Amino acid sequence: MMDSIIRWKRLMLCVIGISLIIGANLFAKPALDLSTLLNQGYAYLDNWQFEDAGEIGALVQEKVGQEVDPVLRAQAYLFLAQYWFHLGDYKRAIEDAEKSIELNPKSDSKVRKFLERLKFLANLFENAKEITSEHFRFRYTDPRDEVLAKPGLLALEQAYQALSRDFNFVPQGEKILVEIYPRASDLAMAVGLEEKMIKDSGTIAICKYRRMMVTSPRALLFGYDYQTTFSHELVHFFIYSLAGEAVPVWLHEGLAKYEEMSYKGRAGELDPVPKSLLVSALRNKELITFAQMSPTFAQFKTPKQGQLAFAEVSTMVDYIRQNCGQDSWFKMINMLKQGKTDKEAMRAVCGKDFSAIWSDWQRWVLAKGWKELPGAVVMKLEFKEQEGEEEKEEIVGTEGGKAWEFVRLGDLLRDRQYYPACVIEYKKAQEIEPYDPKILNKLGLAQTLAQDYASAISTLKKSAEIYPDYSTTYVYLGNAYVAMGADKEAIQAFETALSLNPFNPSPYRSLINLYQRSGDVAKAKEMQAGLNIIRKTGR
Amino acid sequence: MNERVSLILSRLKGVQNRIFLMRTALGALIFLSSILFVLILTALSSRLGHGSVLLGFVFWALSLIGLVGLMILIRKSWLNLEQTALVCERRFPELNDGLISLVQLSRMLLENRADFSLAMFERHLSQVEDKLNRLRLEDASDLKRLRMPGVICSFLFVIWLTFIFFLPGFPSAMSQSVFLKGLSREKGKELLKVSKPLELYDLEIDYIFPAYTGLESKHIEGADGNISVLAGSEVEIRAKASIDAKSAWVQVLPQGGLEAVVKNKELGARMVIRQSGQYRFEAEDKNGLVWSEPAFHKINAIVDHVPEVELVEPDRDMVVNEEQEVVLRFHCKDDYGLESVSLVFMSREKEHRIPLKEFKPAELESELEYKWDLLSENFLPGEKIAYYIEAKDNNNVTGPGIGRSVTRYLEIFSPLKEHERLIEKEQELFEKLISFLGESLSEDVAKRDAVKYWDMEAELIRQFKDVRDFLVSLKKDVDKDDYSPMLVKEMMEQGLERYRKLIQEREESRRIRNQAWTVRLRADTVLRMEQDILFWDKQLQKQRMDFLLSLAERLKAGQKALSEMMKEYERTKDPALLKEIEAKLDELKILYQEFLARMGEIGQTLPDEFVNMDAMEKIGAGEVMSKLEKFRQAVHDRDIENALENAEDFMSALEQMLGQLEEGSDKMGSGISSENMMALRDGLKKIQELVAEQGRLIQETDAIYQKQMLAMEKAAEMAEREKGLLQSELDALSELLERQRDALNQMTPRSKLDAKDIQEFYQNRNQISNQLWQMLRELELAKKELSQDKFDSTVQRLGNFEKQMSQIKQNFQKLSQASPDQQNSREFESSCNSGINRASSARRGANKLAGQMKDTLSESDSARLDALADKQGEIEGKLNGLMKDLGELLAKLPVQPKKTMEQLGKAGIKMKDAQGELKLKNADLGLVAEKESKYWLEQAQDSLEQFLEKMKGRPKPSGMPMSAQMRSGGNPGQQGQDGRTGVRTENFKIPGPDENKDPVEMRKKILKAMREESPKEYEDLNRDYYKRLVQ
Repeated sequence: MMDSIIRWKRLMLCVIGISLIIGANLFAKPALDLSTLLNQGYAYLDNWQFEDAGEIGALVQEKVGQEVDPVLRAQAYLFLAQYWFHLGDYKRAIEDAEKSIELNPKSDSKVRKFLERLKFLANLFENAKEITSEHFRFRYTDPRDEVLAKPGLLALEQAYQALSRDFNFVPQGEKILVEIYPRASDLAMAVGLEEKMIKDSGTIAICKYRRMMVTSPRALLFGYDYQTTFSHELVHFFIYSLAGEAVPVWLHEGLAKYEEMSYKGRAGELDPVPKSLLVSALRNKELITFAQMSPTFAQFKTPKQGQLAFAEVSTMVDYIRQNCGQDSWFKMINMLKQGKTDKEAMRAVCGKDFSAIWSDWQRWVLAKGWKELPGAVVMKLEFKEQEGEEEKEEIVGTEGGKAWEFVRLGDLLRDRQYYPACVIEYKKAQEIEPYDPKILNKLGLAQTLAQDYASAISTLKKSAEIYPDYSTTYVYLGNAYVAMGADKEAIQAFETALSLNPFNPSPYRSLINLYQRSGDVAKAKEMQAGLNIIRKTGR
Repeated sequence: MNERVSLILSRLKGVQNRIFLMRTALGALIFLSSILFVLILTALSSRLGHGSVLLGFVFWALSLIGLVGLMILIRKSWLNLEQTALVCERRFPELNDGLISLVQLSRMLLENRADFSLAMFERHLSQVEDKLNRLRLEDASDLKRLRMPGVICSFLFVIWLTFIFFLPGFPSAMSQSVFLKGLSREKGKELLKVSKPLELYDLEIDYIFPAYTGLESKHIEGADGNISVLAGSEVEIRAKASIDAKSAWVQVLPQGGLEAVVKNKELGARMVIRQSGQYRFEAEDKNGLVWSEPAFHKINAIVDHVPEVELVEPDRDMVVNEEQEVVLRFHCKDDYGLESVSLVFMSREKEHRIPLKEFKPAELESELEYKWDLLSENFLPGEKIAYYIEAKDNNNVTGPGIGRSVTRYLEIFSPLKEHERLIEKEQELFEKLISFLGESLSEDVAKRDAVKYWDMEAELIRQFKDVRDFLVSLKKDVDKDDYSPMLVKEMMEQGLERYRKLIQEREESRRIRNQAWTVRLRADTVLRMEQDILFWDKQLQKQRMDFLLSLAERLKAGQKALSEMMKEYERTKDPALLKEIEAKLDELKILYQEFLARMGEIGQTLPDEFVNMDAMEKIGAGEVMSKLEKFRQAVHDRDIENALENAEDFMSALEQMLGQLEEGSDKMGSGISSENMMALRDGLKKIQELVAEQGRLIQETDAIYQKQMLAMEKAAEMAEREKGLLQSELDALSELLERQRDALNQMTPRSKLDAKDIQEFYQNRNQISNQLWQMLRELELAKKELSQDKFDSTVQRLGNFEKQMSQIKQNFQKLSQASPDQQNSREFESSCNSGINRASSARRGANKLAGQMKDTLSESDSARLDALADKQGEIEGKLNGLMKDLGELLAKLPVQPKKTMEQLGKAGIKMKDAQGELKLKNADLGLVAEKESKYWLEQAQDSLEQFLEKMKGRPKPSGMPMSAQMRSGGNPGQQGQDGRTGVRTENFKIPGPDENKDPVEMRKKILKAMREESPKEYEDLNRDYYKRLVQ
């Protein structure tokens, strides 16, 4: 009995084994030639299917040695170089790119430029450090940028959670690479854009090549809200991972803008200035069309255009969500993936033509009753002219006009410590330009110096309300609170300032004092550690 | 008990200290005495004429041993209490070891280790106390023992001091010994020798002075051997010796020795005295014994002093013109004679020397004057030259002594530097303005009670006056400065006037305590200060930048010169040119360095937003300098190919940098905001439009006027014939009247009449006769008026004539009745009727003529004149609007065009006149007023244009390094560019000489022009007209 059972078992095993072998042979992929593999690999890369691209990469590596055609081998190495580049492994990418050029010396200039870019990146990130979190690899080259890691990763993980929930999707593959570039020129070089274009349009970060490339706030005189920027780029990452290149730029940016504050639970929020720009553009019929937004937002010549475009697309996303259903844009993305145009997708989910949606959206925005702020300015990102330039808390206005004459008078008086007098001059300026952030801040600072703390706080709060991303305002606000003894509020203001410009030493110093005073030694030490990091010698 | 023990122990501790002190002091005294003893021995040994190396060794050995011994002694001198007790026991045997026992037991007691009977101890203690009470424990160390060593040490010290002060050569001998300077083998041998005293007598010394002194040799007999002579002199010493010497020598301190000549018993030696010291003769006799003079003779080498130079004039540092001749007066003297005197100066980091005079031998003193022609030195404006007078004496023995006067400085006057100083002063004014504004604004927000308010007002006025006074003093300098822009000068003038007015009003307001007025005035002052600060803020920056540009212009001039030299070199290949090029490059380098230094300084004062100084510095300091250096090096190495290449590089880099600088300066704008500048330009544009509109109006009016003139000419032609006829009619009337008068005068009364009637008859006749005479006069006037084309008046007179003639006719009827001559009466009556008819006919003719002359203006033209009057009204309205806007704008400016508003005002008045005349259909007078109005508009346009030009212009005085103050071209007070006066004559028709023949038209115009202020052209015309009238 036992023997028969054993025999039966052996037979069964044989049958299963044979079935498996036959099955494996039946379902195995047919052996592809190198050329087909490369085409498929590039398609995967383009569609952000990096795991699949990785499998292709492994196959290409196997086959490349056996290939006799040098041109095809060169193409194979070029693909591998591209693959490593997407993974952020520049050294391996260079090896393969060089092999490719070696095999095909007649490679076109794009390949050589690609190699140049690789070499540049390899050199830039040669001694880079990486800090990882659950889903991210945070890579930086300058030791001072370490200060961004902790809050940045925290914001990214929060954003990851929020976006996973909102998109009902989790990107697959390795941890997401976040690269911090020390200068705007480095970012420009990395993505192959002109530095001027990057600076003019205020492009500070880009999500491309399966990673997020971000210019350090250290490269700017006043920093910027890098945590929200991380979150914004992560939205792009999610969209790319979800739909590859199928989503048009307006929807990409619209979703990114709409969702960028989701990590703080404030998705869809718009600042007063973009609101004002949008209302003004609607009234004056100066809207930027979706066609004008293509192929990239980085093409805008002024930050104002960029802000307006963001306001348009984010409100459009909100409009579609509210009027065509909460999951309408997911539906749209799916349709886009299936090859439909954005207008077709919009008609399908909203049941009306794009022109009708466009008109309805305008009415819908106007119905919100947003205020126009005459004279409100779009803050241009102030890049440092040269490395080592000190972080500033104030810039001298170069604008013309009567208001700036009063500002100049105020500055002259302030420098000579006539504080009540300079408040008068700044007020005259503010009467002419009531929403200029620089004038508001100068007035707030002057009021603090003149010991009129209540007025200073009121002025600075107004500035912060309109320009929530201007770090200087919070430093001044913190100083005013300190001067009037409101330590708690001061701490909050300085913390906000640091979240926008973590390279300004002044808030650290103030916070160390405040935390020490409040007995929070741990926080004081944390601030001291931050200060020590930003004082490190740069690369 | 413990206390009692402690008391004894403390006494013992006192003894312990005394012993320590005494022993240490004793050791130190012995040590010092030994040292002093050795030092004194050095003196004695040196007297014996030998080195004292041994003593040196002894000294150092002794010092070393002594020090070690002293240390040991000090260490050993510190006794513990038990040892001290033993010393005391030895000194006072009566203690009988009681003290030592007590010390030992008490220690155990104090450490609580007492294993003995305390009662016994107390008894022992009492016994020791008893004994100690009877003794002076301190005597255990008797300080008297130091007395003798102290005395010895002091004695030796005194001797040593005496040697130092009174024994010549002792210090050097001592140092030679102590520091083992004489350590040598020979000295060692010498040490073994014993010398005997050598006596010398009949000492003779010959002094031979250096030739440059011109002094004759001197011979001294019976000298004591001491020598005192000018350094460099040769001295020959001869003396007789007490022994027969085999050989002799002279030991000279500190140099060494020299051989002496021995002749019988006479010794002689020759030596050149170079420094002070001492000497003595030493000799060796035939037995080999050494003999030395017991004492040294002194040598006193008198130093030849360097010449003294006193620069009498200039007695201070000076700022001079580079073409000036500076007179240098100086006085120099020397103790033995001057050789030469030179002027030495430093220019462009190099020393230059001008020989002024070579002196004759033995010339001791001189007073000189030298006229230094600065032009020949090619100094650069702004250069600072250090100079002094240098005199050399004729000392050819120790080398010439060089004396120098004080160093003084000449600064070559540079208008640029002066301008730079003024900019600094303007900065000071700027600071004062800001302070005053700060105080004023702060005061405005301060809540003051009435008393304090007025006190503070007084304080503010005082500050305001300070600002004003500063401005007054600054203005004087700025007015003289060629580099200060006209805009600044005008601003100062106008600003001063405004300040004066404001201060005056504020003082008045304060005096009458009118707070409302003061508040207004304060606000006006603040506004003024704000405008002025903004003006100076920009203007200072601009001036600094312009200053830099002015420096750059010097560089450019240098560059141009260099470029020409290079071209010349390329053409001729003349190697001599390379030297010149090299020199020019040196000059350019210095200029360039100065330029860079200024740029650095100025860069700090300029706000970044105006100019990217970093970028400029990058180009400036780096590229240009390195290219200049390369160029210099290539020229220096005579590497011509490279030099040419580098020259091109350098020139283009310099050009590029200067271009950037100019661009930066243009960015600066002027002291007036761009907004206001735009508004001013708008105003100018509007004036230009008004000028054009007025021009069009003039054209239209002129067309009507010309048409009217043509019609008038035609009418006048026709009128001439009529006038002739009329004239003959009037002549006939006159004849008629004459005849009537004759006929009347022949009439007599009837004879039958009574006397009363006769009287009445004559009265009537006279009356009629008078009437006729009056009518004759009227006719004459009518004729005259007719000739003057006063047709209306002629018509009126003839009408009167008719009436008078009718009246005469009536009056004559009465007369005729009383006259017997009826025939004559009828004729008279008939002539009256004829006169009336003729007059009536003439009146009609004149009336017709008057009508013809009046109808030269057609109805359509008349209506057109009405329209033109309205148009003129419109233009005037625009002008008024413009004047209002411009007035408000100018009030905001820190500096204003002086006459623009006044000229616009005059244009307005003339427009009103033109409008009035056109309404009255006086096209001619309307045209004159229109033209005058246009003239004033053009004047306003010119003045505003000039003002705008001044605001943007950067003054560029001709001839950069010139210090002359006169501007090229133009006379003082003349305005405008290139000597052009500010009057325009285009579009303004001045009547020609023929036109003056038309008396009616011209007279009207001229008389009109005479009533009011007229353009200059009209004044000339008036003058001419009246001149001709008089002629």
